[in-house]
Amino acid sequence: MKNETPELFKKIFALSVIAVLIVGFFLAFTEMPKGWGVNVNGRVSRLYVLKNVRTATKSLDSGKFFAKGVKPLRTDVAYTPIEFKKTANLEDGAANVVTSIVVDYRGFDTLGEVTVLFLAVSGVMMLLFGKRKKERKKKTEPSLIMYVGTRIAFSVILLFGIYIFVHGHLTPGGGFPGGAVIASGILGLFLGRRGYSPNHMGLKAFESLSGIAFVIIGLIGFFSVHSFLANFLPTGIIGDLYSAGFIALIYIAVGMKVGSELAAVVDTMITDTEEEWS
Amino acid sequence: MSIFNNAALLIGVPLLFAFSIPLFGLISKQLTKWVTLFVIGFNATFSLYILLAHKYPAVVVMGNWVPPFGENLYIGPVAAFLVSVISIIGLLIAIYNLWAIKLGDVTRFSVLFLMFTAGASGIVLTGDIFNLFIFMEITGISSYALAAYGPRRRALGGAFKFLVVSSIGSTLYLLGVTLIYTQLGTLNIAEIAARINQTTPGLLTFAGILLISGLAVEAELFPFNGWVPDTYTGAVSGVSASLSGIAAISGVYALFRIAMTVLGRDGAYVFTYGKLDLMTVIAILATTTVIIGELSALSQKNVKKMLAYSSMAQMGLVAVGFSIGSKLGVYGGIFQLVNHSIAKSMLFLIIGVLAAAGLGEKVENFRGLWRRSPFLSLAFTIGAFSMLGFPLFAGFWSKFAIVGASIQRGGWYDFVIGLVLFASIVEAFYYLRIVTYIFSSTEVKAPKIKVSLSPAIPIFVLAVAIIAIGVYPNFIGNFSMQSAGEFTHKMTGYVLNVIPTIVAH
Amino acid sequence: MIIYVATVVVIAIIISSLIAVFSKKLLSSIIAMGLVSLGVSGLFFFLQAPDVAITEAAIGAGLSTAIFVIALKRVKKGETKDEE
Repeated sequence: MKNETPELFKKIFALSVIAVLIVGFFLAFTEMPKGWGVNVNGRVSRLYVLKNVRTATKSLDSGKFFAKGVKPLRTDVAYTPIEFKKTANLEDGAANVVTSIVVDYRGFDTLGEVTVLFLAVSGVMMLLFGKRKKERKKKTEPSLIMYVGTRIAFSVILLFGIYIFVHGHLTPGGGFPGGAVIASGILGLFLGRRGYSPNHMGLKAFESLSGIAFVIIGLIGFFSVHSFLANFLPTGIIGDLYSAGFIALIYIAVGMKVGSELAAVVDTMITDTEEEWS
Repeated sequence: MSIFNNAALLIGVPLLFAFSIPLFGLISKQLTKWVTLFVIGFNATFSLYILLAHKYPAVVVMGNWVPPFGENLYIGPVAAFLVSVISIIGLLIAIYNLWAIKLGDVTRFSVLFLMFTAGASGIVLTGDIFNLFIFMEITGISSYALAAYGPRRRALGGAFKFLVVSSIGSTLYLLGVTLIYTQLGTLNIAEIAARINQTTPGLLTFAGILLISGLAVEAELFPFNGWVPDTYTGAVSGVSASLSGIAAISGVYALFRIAMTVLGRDGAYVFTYGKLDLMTVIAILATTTVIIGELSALSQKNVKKMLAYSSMAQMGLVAVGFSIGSKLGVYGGIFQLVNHSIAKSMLFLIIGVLAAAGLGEKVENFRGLWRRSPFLSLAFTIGAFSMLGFPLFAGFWSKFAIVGASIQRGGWYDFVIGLVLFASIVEAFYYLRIVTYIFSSTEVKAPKIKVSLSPAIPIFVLAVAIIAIGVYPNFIGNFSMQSAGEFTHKMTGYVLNVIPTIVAH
Repeated sequence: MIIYVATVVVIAIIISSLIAVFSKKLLSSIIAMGLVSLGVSGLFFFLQAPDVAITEAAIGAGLSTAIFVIALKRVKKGETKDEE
């Protein structure tokens, strides 16, 4: 297919699109409301966008969490501050708020994101599918320091990755970064020795079983609380390792899945294959 | 608000099996296709049950958080009807795939096809503007990979074009979602729809443009549909059929859910500048799509490319129907959408069977097909007649409704419908050209084409469906009419069913 | 204080993204893209989003750069084969 559009036209077109986007975003950000008030009310918490910075700060200072005209959703439950390591049985006991939004309130989105990654990896594998080529002549073997170093680093990186996703509800991080960290450790192994290949059956089993585990955790919520992906475990005391219900379980599943999938991508990309359509 | 949480299985079960298909693949590759078939069969049965037992309107609560706080699925008339159509067409294409997909990485193909169908039903089901984006990504990513499947190199070019255009589209959509979130602090479609007037007008316009241009990629509207011909032509026929039969439904649904429910105000749109509002813009784009699609299809010698352009034009016609905004117009749009998916996916499946029998994709190769395979010829003729809206075929009723609605609306829609009718004549010309080729009697001593059972079932079922809808349109028409009500009456049809206590501002 | 550091990081991001666009060699484009990701993850950290910063550093700066390099290597291998 020949591309006959003149170069100048292409550049002008691209620049005009970018200019429209930039101007639009500039207008958008100048018109955007600034400041917000937060309300945590018993079972229901909510982020309200207020139009005015001054009203927001005033209402925060005076202890009222609402601006004029905005009514609290529940007036029967009084607002109580949360104390670390003391308050128990919150609506969602994760100390890391991001995690509680990502996994509990919007857990269905996370399941979707995991699926998106899974499908992208499946697509790459389907395109690069073929017979594994035989090892070619070894050109340059990495040095001994590289070989030993990557192996030592791998164990530390693996531990760090596991730490990130197990403590996802307490400290920053979670399944996705943890899995990515583990996968970068495995990438190090690939670089450390020519012709390294992980256990394919193990990778495949890990990939499938962790995904199945995620859906099954969702289905347990479906059968016990009668709502898909509902938090069916007690939330515990905020700040404890055993708190926040099923968040840690889901993050372990997500971490294993992301780690094994990214490792599988690196593996498929690195090994030479020959197309077969026999 | 009635709650029907069991419908979460429509998404949960396909996900569970999609993750476990690689394990089934360790036992046998051919088994994975059967797993896909049974899971989509489950979805089809369950969604038909929801539709026929009248379980809608209902809200599916996800994660035990009631609608504005967590995520939810909403099963209204539209969702119940379109999910059934998507799952049934998906089931038929899965039956076809049992025969067609034998080489390459069959396991991964099954995973992708299963999630493609489930993602398309997710787009239709979801009641959350960000969750819609996730399902768009699921459908999108699986369709790029599916479009690249095949031994031929030309599949890769089309798939890559599709990938680039569609990723830019979904990025624009995401930016629009972000802007709306900064204004309202919510992602729930019902709540956004009720409180859309609280946003700043300029920002809303910009967000609306971003959302609409992002969604128009999948809905195949004019400036965003450059990927259509190459992708449809390059892909394997089963994949082209599912792109035009399944992805098109979800794309059009998403576009008009945002345009009519979120940005709309019972027949008008929230932002208007003088006489120019969003509806006018969509109507202009749709008319242009119809004309460009039909004229490009006319000059094609390759039947598959011709079908691709024709599918573009039909999507434009659907959008014209929706953009009229009256109940009759939206009814015509939905009806046309369903008819198009049935007919077009059948035509693509026939092309696939013929290609496997060694017949090329050129128009001349169809000469004397009647002698070689009466079954395929009849099915092709039925599909073509339905596409061009011949009376007593399915397409007639929907085109009739769209024309009627635009005459009712009057004004400059008379001009629009004139152009659309002109395009229909062009369409009739190139479809009838193939039909005459099929029935022209030549003394070709070519062997008869044997059609094995698994591709014959879907083709037969779809052909019978076209005739059945054409003879008795009330059954599908009834559901389309209910769906049109959900689109045109945004508060009573959608918002109040999800959050009954909300007050519109 | 942090505003000055952030300014330096932003300037570095802009420069490396320009390098990524205008460089003739694909490999240096890829490295520059990795630098952009690294800078962006630093910015996320300054904006008090450590979750996103960790993810961006691990995926953007680490894995995706590596995958780009591997893909480039594969593409080059195909090119030399065709010439033969």
